[in-house]
Amino acid sequence: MQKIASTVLSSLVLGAGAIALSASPASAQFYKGKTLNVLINYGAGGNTDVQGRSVLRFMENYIAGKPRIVVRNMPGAGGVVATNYLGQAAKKNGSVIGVFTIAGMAELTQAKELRVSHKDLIFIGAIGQQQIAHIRKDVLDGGINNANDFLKVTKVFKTAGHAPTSSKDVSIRLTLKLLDMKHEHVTGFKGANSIRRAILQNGIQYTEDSLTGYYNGVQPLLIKPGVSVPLWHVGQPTKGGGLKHADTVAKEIPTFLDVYQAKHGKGKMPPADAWGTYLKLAQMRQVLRVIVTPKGVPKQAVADLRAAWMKTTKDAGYLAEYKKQNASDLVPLSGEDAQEVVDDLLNVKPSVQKYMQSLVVR
Amino acid sequence: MFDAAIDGLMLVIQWPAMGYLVLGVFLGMFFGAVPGLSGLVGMAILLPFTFGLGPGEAFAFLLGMYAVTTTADTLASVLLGVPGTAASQATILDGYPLAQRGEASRALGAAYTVSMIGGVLGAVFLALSIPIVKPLILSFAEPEFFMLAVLGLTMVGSLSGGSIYKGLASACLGLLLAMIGYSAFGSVARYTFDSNYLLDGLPLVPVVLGLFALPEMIDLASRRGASISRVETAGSGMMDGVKDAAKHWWLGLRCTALGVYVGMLPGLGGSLVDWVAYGHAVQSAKDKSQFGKGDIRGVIAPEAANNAMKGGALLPTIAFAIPGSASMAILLSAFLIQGLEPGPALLTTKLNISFSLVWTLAIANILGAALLMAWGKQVAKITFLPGHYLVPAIMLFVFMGAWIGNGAFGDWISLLIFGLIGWVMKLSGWARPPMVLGFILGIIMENGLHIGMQTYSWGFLSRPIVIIIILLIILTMVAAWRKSEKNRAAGDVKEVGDSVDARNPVVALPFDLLLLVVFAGATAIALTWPPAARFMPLIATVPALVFMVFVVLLDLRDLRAVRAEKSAGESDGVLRRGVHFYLWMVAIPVVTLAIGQYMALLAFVALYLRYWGKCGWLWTAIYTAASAVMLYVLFNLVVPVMWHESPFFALFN
Repeated sequence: MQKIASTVLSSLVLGAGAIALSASPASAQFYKGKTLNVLINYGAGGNTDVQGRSVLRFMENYIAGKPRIVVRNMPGAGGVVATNYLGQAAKKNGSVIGVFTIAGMAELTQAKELRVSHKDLIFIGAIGQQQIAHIRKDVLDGGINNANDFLKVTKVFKTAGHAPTSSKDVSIRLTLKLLDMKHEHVTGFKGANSIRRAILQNGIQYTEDSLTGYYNGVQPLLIKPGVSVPLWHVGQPTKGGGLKHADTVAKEIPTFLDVYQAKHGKGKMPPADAWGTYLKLAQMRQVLRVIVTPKGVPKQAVADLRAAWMKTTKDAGYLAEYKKQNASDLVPLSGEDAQEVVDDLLNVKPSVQKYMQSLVVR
Repeated sequence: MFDAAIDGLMLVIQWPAMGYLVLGVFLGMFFGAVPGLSGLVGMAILLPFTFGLGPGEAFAFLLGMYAVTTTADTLASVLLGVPGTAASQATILDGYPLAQRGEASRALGAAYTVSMIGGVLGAVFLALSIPIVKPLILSFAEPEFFMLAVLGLTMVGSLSGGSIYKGLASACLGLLLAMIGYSAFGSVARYTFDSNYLLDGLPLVPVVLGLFALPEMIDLASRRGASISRVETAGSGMMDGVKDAAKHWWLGLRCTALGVYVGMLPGLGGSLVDWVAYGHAVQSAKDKSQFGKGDIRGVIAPEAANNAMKGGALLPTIAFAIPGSASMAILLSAFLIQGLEPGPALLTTKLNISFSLVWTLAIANILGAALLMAWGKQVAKITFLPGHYLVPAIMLFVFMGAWIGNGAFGDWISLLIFGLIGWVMKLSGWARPPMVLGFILGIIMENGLHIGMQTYSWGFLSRPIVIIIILLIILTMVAAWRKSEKNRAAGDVKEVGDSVDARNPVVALPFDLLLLVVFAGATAIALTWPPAARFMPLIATVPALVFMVFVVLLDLRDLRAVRAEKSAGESDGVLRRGVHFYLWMVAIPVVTLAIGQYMALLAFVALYLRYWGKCGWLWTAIYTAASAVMLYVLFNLVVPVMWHESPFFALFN
């Protein structure tokens, strides 16, 4: 027993010695000498991962105390695995944050896999990003060149998404239902790239993509070669419950509401619950990528991180890099604003929630 | 085109691009050689360093690293029986037995030679295919992927070891394991038992490390300090391996082509390619008797394929901006960061950039193989060291390798569970490769089937390439059946795979019964899910229940034979020591909960050296101190991980 104790003790001393060599004295700055572990809720190489690592590269320079940053990808169930981990298991001492694509639809549709509420997270900041719908031109004899041509389509076409509960799938079902377009929805594609391949192969004709995916993947592969055409973008929700054209999207691509009114008449609005659902989807796009910590984290940590985020959003180098990667300008939200948007997003009328769940066809 | 090729070469060989390429190659050897790290981890870590570089330097750096990970991963696979990366799982089936025979240098020589040739030919193929690749890639959609996966499953017969029923049940178990996690098709969590960790499914690396590496560690620790090599002197050298590669050039070439095609089809993935090549080597061999026991062809086939795959994988990425793997998705990001638009531009106005990628792949493969060849002979000597000196260091890499991917405690639990399963399978004549094959192919099959059916309905079956693959499946099965009948007639009924010699029905029967319960339980649970979510699990469990009946009956027959033959002997002593060592491994996560991961690993090292290795204090202290520094440098500075800290004190946060 004594032998075991002395062996363990010696190994502990050796291990601690190795660490002590690199330790630095404590300081008033919260993160001084600490490690900040960052969870990314999608796999390496995806949009969330690349954007997350990019923002961290700049943000680390502005976090007071300059902590060492360790990134860990924790993908699964549409971002739910990492969200659960952050809310339930992560230490609440400021050592763990998440750079996530918000799993808002899982919460709005009350998916039982999601075990925490986004209300239980503190938002450090957020990035908004628009979504664009596009379709193969040859779905209509004579070709589709714009949204008005699309409204003339009468035959059934195939649409694609990732899972019945993903916001892309719900958005496709909702918008095409509101436009009375006949379609068959194919779900389960692992990533946006496989949907693009399927469109190129004409197995699928229609889908939606984030602005990053649209400019970097869809445009070179499908739009420029003349295979597909953009139809509309989600649009920016206004305080009066309407939509305005997003600054980051080309002028010739209308909002969905423009197309809806082209079909049903000027000034005509969709039914209340359907429109309520649509606005929730649009709100989700405002906080698509979020930086979050669990509730209970020391206030100084949150303040330091929020300050660092705001400085990052003004860093010319980061803004240039974001534009290069996403082919559009950064649309940032402060932590406080993001928190407000999310609180509002999750405040759903029961009838809207019911309608939303009816769109989740399992 | 010639001008673009020369221009591309100049982009790579000019300074500082060449310097970045060499640096990338060295880093790639590190990422390949350390189990658990991989080209993907390397890409994710190195990408931010390319932001300030020009295109020539950035791609030389990233691809230089990426190209050689599947060359360097052979080291761990051959010398230690631990897959260096997911692309070298199959290499251990014959590479490690060669090392045990004292022929590690020969295995490494052959592996590096074919890796180099495979890598260079893959790059050449990439260059030649750029103009004609479009129709080929576009003709493969989900129905074809499903059928390719079914074709892949036909290799189970060749990898089943002594019992085809156990092989088939093993493949079904792999398919079933692949079904764990959130099902996008039915929006239900399958077999997760409310565990957040299992929602994303079982991760491949801990499963494979558990199945293959831990049983070897148990074996090594149980043999009272014997070396990996069971002979005292090296049997043959690197040059013998080079000669083997030359002798089996036709196999190497075929596997190179297989590697390129598997790599080129987005979604099939690098973890499959070595199994496809290995299965092909076994299927096409006249004399299969040495596969699984140290047949050099079992090293040549996967190593040629896994390097060649990388040239193939680049094609859809640069031609269509469709990355076939996560590594290629990161490379795609590098294109965007460089302001390059993948697609037609890279095949026309920016063709020189595409050629610079080809040259980088070719040069990195030659450089990496040459460097590894130069060190191979010295490194191979570790197989002659006493096993007790190796076990603690290998265990550190195995445990950290399992941890790196997700950094979750569940990864260690998976590692230990699959370590136990792998060990029991090894002892009881259950072949492990079919299980890994089923595990890798399961998701490809399910995606292919569901999306294929939703997209094409029954037109799925009338697609020309699907029909061709169905014919290939039938031909393969008929050929396998005819061969087995021929062997039976000749009195040679032994099949190929691992662990054919080990058949311990005393261990096997409880395992069989446990599996029977697992398959029955999994069937019952699956029946409660929506049709889209339950279809594939039932495809795995229902046939498995039938196979298990035969397995149990055959093991009962073996049990009677064994009882009549012998009583307990030395093998029981080894078994006891194996169980003892397994409990030591279980102690690592348990102790981690109290003193944290870093300290628990070091405590394991020190205690193992003292009590298993009977080492003196000085040697124990030096070894433990070196381990502490190595862990700290590799996993806290070079590839930082999220450590599991003690609840009582924190070393890293």
